Amino acid sequence: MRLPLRRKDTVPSEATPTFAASARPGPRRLPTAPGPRQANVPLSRRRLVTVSIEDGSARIVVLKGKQVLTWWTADLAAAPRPPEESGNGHGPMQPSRPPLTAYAAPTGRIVADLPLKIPLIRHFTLTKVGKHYLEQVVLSEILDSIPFPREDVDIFWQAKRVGDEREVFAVAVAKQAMDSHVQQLRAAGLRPRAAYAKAVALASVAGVPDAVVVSLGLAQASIVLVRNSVPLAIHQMELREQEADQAALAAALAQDIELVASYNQPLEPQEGDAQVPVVLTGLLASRAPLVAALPAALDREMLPLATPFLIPQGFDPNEYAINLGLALADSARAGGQGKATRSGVPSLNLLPPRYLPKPLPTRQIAVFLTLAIFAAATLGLRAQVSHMSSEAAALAGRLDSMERGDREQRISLLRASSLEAKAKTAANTISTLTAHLEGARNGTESTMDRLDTLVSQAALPRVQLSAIGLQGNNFALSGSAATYEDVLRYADDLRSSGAFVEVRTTRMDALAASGEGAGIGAGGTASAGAGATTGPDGGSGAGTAMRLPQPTRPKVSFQIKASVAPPAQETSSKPTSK
Amino acid sequence: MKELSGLVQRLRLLKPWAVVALLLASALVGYSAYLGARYWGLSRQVAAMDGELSPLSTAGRRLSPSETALAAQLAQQQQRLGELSGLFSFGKAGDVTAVVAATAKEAAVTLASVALGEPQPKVVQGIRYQAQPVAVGLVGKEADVVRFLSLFQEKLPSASITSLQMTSMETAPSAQVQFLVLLSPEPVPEKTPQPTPDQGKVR
Repeated sequence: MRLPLRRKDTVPSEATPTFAASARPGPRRLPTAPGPRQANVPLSRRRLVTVSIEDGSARIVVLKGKQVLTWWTADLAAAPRPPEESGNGHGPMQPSRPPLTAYAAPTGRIVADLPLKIPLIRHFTLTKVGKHYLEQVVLSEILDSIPFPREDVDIFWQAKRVGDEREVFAVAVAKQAMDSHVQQLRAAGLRPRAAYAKAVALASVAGVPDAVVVSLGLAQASIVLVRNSVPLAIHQMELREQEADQAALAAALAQDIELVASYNQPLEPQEGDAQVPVVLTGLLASRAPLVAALPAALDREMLPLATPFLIPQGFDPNEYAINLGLALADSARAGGQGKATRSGVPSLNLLPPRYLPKPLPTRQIAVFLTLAIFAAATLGLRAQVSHMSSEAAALAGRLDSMERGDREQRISLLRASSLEAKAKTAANTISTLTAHLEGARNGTESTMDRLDTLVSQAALPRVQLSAIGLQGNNFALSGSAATYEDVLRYADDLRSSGAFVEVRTTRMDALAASGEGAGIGAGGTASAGAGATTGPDGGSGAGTAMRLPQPTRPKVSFQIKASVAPPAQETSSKPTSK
Repeated sequence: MKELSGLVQRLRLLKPWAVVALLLASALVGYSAYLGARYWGLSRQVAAMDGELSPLSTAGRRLSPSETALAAQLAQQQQRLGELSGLFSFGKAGDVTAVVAATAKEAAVTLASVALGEPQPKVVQGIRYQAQPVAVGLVGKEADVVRFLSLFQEKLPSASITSLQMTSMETAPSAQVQFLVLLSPEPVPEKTPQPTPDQGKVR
């Protein structure tokens, strides 16, 4: 398989990994204590299940933070072996291994590796590329360097700004190979949430930015050149275990290590260029003969594996170095496509989104929940508006009713006022009419009473009345008497009766028939001769006294005016024309 | 225009759920604004109607006189007025001469003459009458004349004596009496003041 690398040169692969070989446990070395190189690496507190498939075996390590909880190696084609628990006293070498499916449902986030040659890794530098065009440029750069069309590969990349440049770490994975690998894991009951390139896992576990990481498996050795924490070149070589000559094997391995280490190096080493150290990992890293022979063949510093994890008794970090590297890579994973990792190691989750469970659409849920709350509040407001509307309608009806009542009451008041006015007018009229009737009756009665007074006071035969006239408020009397004294007494009697306001004797005349001198006018006036009297009506009273009977011959005629109180003022209008 | 096209471009970049949410939010905001405006308007309307109701409630508590009682009172007064008005007429006889003749006969006086004058309108204390002058000539004693006057007053209470002449009282007494009979009373309408603009205004 051809890897597109930085100057477009490749490291040829010699064999693709298979699951055919069975795991054979070898001697284990003592656990490695956490080294100072990765002491401060942040690790997730979540339970993490790392799965590494190599040489036909699946190595599984369950971690929580820095704590290694459980680990086991499953032979994909052999009988199961029970797992080894931290501190449970199980020895590292058990007679049989469990299959992957025996513990197929470990709880936690499952992280798997991808075989060394499935992902095509490329690391390159871009200058002065705008952010909006970065993705197109990166994809174009990658598609130009892989032999697959776009639809056959999943492309992952991340960029890190260094000055004006962007360092891009890109990985292209053939969909077919990825699908086959994921199906293999799913068939074993594992549903990975992340997958990292094995080269990235080895670069992560190396603990130094520049190193040649060598993973010694049973059948092959994987060699990864790591520069600035970026895996630049990978190489696999077959380990012929049947070769008894460990020295020759060490020499061949050293030769390949040197070959990889010389990748991307200037032809003439310059002063200051340090020798890249070698970090040995893998199952065979604990084999004393090979490890002992390698330094002799390799003129490079060899660093022991340094991990930040707490290594339990019986756990061989060299054997499970890829698992530990997967845990480190997953802890340093990028937040998203195109974003750089928190650590210097480019950590890309190569598991395509189609294998990831669809995340809960929290944003959509939050938005629509907010809208639902808003809608509920709107419904509440609508209820308030409806209540207010009904209240307004009720008030309007009440107001209308009260206005109608008020109008009717005003009309009733007007009617009552009119009735009151009519009743008042009627009462006044009644009162006036009654007063008129009363006045008429009183007037008539008083007239009759006065007539009676006038007649009764004129006692025969001393005073004889011949005529009585009533005009307005004045009575005019004429008559005759025997003597003047009788006339005057008669007048006094009238006065004393109280029926008249004023009684005045206007004339007294001595009658000629009696021959007793001339008449004397009352009030200082006297007329001579026979007294012709003038009545109130202007008629002549002459001769009236002459016709009086003569039981005692009268000698004096008289005229008296008797006044009564003036009547109430009356208003009269002129007669209407007829 | 450029901003609008930019906005359209940005909207095209939105995901469908975001577009739906945006439309829903817009609809909710619009509907809420409408409801808020309606609530505000209704609140003001209710407050205004409350303000109008308060004086009406006070006015509704005013005591109004009973129209029925007033009508009954008026009917009673009108009946009394009718009865009184009947006294200002010639009664069933319908003719004053008949009344005079009947009264003279009853009073045992000889009716010498009866003369009716021209009726004249006369206003007394706000009431207009038809004043009918009646001149009656009687022959009889003074006591009979007085009885005639009394009987005539009973039969025509609205008649009043305006003048009286009794003559020849010693030999053949006779009397000439002038009556004024008030007929057909009618109240003279008073001049009512002009109503103010507030009076008689019906809401």
